[in-house]
Amino acid sequence: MRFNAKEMAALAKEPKDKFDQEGVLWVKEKQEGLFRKGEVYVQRWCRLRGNVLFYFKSKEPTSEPYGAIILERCTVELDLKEEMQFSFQIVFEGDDRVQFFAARTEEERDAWIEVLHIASYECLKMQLESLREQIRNKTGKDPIDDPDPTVLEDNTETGRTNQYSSFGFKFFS
Amino acid sequence: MRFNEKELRYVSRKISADREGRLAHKPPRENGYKERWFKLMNNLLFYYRTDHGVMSETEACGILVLEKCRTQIEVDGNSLFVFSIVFEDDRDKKHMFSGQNENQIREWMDAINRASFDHLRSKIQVLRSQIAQRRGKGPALALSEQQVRPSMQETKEHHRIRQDKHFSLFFPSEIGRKDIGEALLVDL
Repeated sequence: MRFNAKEMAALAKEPKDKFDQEGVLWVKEKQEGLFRKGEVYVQRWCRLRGNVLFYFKSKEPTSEPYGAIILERCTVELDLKEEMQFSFQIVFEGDDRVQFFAARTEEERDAWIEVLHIASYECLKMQLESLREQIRNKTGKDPIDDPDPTVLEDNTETGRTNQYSSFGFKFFS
Repeated sequence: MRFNEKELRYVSRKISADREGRLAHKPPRENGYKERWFKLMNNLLFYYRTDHGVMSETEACGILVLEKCRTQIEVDGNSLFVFSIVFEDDRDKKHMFSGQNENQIREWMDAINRASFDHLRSKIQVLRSQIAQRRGKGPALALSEQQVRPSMQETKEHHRIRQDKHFSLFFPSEIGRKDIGEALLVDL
């Protein structure tokens, strides 16, 4: 499957404030090289941006990500077997694949679990629906209209501004 | 760059598309357009090979992650209804798309513009701001980046619905359902 890796690489190099979490994690990976049996824990610099978890070979700011995990239809759990201390796992739905990680401290492990739990786009959509429902129940009005398609006539740098106006929100006085 | 292709294939089969349809696609640095079937799911644009206008394979041949990108109408000598997706890092490299009529391409552009995770976050921010305003606290309260992330209560409610078993492993058991339910209700 083709993947827009180059554009994703640019995303991965954004400054720290664009990321929900970053830090060093041990990641369990297939051993490369002649002796391919088994998996080992390798230290990776990890950065979570929305529903994408990037992991790098090195912390060098110009380095390309080694990989990206798009977090949809997965759950984050404690790893009860704990091969490595402070380990946790991402379990992918409909797949027997489990991705193991280990943090350096208990606090870091808990912080990562907390952000990864809510990283999926679907989770965020549920929140939006929840807020929308609250407003609808209290005011009787849906705060989200269909966006006005003619607002899209945009070939300029003000694209971002136009995106906001295309929400079509009703603002309550 | 490695990516979790196998899991994404599963996602493409499980999540229903927000929008799908036929478009001709010309990736950057390539010469011709190829007809593809596109499926937009959240911030992921999957595309499939076609045969006589319909999907010819069940597995996608490619995916575009739609973050930090914009769409714009393009003028292309050979086709009438063309738009591009431009990713912010490299504005010269355009993914070109050609459609059947103006309405169709505008609807695609609209859907793609609204697809990103960042965009969804902004929408949530706006709703939070509205709620805060109604409570008389003023819009500034909800504008910090921190508050775009969901509260712990919202997180727990989400995971209570999806996987009780795993939820109980991580969160303290003394938080009961009643607490979660009440925490979600915002007094407007």
